[in-house]
Order: sequence, then C-alpha cells, then structure tokens
Amino acid sequence: MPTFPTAISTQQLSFRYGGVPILHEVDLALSAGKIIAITGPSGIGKSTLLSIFNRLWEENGDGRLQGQVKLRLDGSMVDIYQDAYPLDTLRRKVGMVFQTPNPLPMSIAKNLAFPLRLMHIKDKGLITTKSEEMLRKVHLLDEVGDRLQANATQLSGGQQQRLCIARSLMLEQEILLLDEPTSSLDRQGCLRIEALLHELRGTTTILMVTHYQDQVQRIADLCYELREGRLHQTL
Amino acid sequence: MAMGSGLLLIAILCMMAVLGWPLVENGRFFALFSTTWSPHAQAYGILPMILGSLRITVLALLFSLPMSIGTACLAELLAPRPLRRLLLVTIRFMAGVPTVVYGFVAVFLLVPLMREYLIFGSGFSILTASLVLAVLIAPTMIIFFVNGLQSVPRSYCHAVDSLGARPMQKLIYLLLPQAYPSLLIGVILGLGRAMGDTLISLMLAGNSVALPESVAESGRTLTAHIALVIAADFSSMEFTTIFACGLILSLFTVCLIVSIRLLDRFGTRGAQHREMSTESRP
Repeated sequence: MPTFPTAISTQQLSFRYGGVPILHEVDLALSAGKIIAITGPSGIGKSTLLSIFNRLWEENGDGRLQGQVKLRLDGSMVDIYQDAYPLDTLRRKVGMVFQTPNPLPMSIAKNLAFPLRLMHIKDKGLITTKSEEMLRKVHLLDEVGDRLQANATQLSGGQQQRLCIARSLMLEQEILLLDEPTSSLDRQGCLRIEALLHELRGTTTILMVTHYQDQVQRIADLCYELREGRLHQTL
Repeated sequence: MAMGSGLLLIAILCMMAVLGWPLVENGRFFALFSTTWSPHAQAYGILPMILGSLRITVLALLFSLPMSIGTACLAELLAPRPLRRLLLVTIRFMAGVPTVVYGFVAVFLLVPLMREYLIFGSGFSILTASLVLAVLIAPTMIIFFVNGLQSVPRSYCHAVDSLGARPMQKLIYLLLPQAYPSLLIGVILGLGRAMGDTLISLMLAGNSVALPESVAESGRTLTAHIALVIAADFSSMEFTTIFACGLILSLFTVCLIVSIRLLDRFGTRGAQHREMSTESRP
C-alpha cells in the first residue's frame, strides 16, 4: 500500500468572518492524492473553509485568520499565509470549482484557454492539445468538441460544471477545492463528475464540500463534519 | 418615460427655434456661422463660440477620461482597501462641490501658473478652462465607472480570481470589457456636463470672441456667450442669437449621444465579429 505525504495541514487554525467565528483552533493533516469530503449544516462555513486554502476569502475582506495553513506545492510544504507565497501562483496551483457553474461569458475554447492566457502562454498548438485533453478527461469532448466556438454560457448546467472543472484542470493543479460541485446537477451529471474525481484520485488532492452522504460513501477516502467551528472525522 | 423625455426635448428645441426665428426673418441666419461677433457692426457670427465649446469639451474629456478610468480602477480594485474607501469618499465629496469653488481655486492657483510657465498672456485660456473642466467632470464619470465595475457578476470575479488572475489581468480581461456599457454612459454624462457647463468657461477661458488659433489662446464657449449676452440685453437682435446658440448646443448634445450610441452598436458588432473570426482560425 503506497504511503502519501501530507498535502494539506493546519495548526491552530481559527477564522472569523464579519466578527462571526467560523473555525476554532483546527488542526488538520490530509494526505496527498486523497478525496476528502467536508460535510455539515448549511451556513456553518464549509465554503469559507475551502476559500482559506486558496485565500479567496481575502477578496471579500472582513475575515480574520489566525494559525498556520501549509500546503504541499512543488514538492515542499509552504505556509501560504506566512511565507509571502505569491497569491497568483498559489491560486494557479490550488484550483477551485464552485457550487454554481461559473463559465466566463466567452466561447468554450476561450474559457479553457483562459488560465493559460493568464500565464502568458500563447502557443496555440499547446492550448488546443491541452484543451482537448481536459475536455476528454471530463467526458465533454464528444458533446462539445464540434462547437468549441459556442458561448460557454449556452451549455447545460452539467456541461458548464464539467467545463469549469476542465478549465481548472488546465493548470494541472496539485490541489483541487470543490464546493458542492454536483449540487445543481442531475444524477447523470453527478455520476460523471464522480467518475472524473475517481480518475484524479492519486494525482490530485481533492477537498470537496458536499451535502450528500451517499456521495461521501461512493467517492471519499476521508470525511470530516464541520460542527461548532471544529472538524470531526466521520469516515 | 422615454417618449415623454423625447417630446419634452422636441418642445424645447421648437421653442428655441421660434424665439430665434427673427434671425431668419432678417436674413441673418447664415451670418451666424461667420467668425465675426460685433453687434455694433450688425455682425453676429458665433462660429468662434461653437468651436470654443467643441475644443473645451473635447480637451476636457481627453484629460478626464484616463484620469477617471484610472481612479475608478484604483478605487474598485487596485488600491489597498482603506485607500479605496478614502478615494470613494473623496470622489463623492468632489461631485458635490459647487462649480464656482473650482473656478475660484483655478483663478488663484492655476491661472497664475499657466501665465508664468505655459502660456503667454493672461493665463485665461481654452487650455486652462479644459483642465479645470476635466477635474469637474471626473467625479461624475468615476462614480459611473465604479458602479459599472461593481456590477460585473460576482461569479465571474470568483472564476477569474480562483484561476490566479492578477488584479491588472482581472481588470483587462474581465472588468473593463464587462463594464463597457456603464463606461460609455459615464462618458456621455461627462461630455454632456462639459458641454453644458457655463461657469468654468466663463471664469477661465478668457471670453475672447476672436477665433482662437490654439488652445493656449483665450476663447468663448456657447454657454458663456449666452450668459454674457443675457446679462446685458433682453430685446435686441444680439439677444435673439442666444436662442440659436441654445439650439446648436442642444443639437450638439443630441448628436454626441447618438454618435456614441452608434459607435457602441458598431463597436459591439465589430467585437463579436472579431471574436468569431479569431476563434474560427484553425
């Protein structure tokens, strides 16, 4: 049985948002390549917890974080709040997919190329190859391969969500944060995404917020419930 | 609502045309577009004022637009958070400052500077008025630009942020293109305000009725001309010309708005066409 190094660790992590305590002295050590589910009642702060790992909460201000958050990036553990790690680099290595699909108002091809465009990669051959690879990975190539110039916002909800995952994967992130990625999808779309997560297991550390216990049973290696500011392991 | 506004505008235009009709009856209508304004010699040319208005408006917009877009971007995204709040408060305060205050400050601070370092003569010039007018219209434009940037859906912002976009990339690739309609409205309002402002040009442009050869010379705008004539006269042919000035001013504003709308329509179509062309390449 292969052993995986720690990919995500927190020490004495506390977080308040708008004065409301969300997390209280959380210590966590999650292995790389696993699928970790986070469950808990609505409004308890599960999404906020995810946004701590790519520092997305900082865009809204009003949050206050204490403690240590370390991620394994490029082979070494980095304290993302203390080591002056560049924010743009962090977010390119820690992908995020949101509850509601959020393709940008541009074509499917441009959506996929967008992360590479941000990194000033202009090689059209590379972009095309990579886009097709990621579309294949999320089982979307057969459905949209012949209309890559269509506006991404015209796709169905499930297709949009898979496109967003593909867009996230364009940068081959080491850690993927998924905020209830299947909540707006039908069963078919949900199973497709779960199949994709199975494929990513081992190469990508996946931290996923979900409300569905059956989904946890199907795909999660570990499960934590967020309750009263603390994480309780349930699986 | 739109129809009511349109009817009101037409009624105002008609009223000005009727009140200015004596000029046509006396065969002086085309003489309006000459360069000589000399009521004693029965010469009522308002071309210098038309050109004065256009020059000051265009210059003010040229100065104000980059300043306003830059400030809006700072206030919405680029500046540190405490500075953003301070900027917005300052801009809202500036929008409420009476025009005469800008005028007085400029008379005592800017005009001497212009006289000493940049312009020969009194310092009262088209350039001086344009600079102050640029500052005057900037808050209106900035407030619209900031509102436009804030109206971009948060889901798009989250997507771009989570992909690691730097603030400038977020601005260029997402916020500015998405906020384009609001930017355009801000420009239209700024233009309208610059074109319609009376006090700044009256206080700072010098009010010369001669046709200026450069922006460093004194000039008079249509609005300043109306104010100066109406202050001294109520019945002569000279007085009648101000209705022609008003009509021209209104038509200018209408033309500006229509051309910007057309530019917007063609621009949007062009952008869509360009996008499709780019994407259809192998």
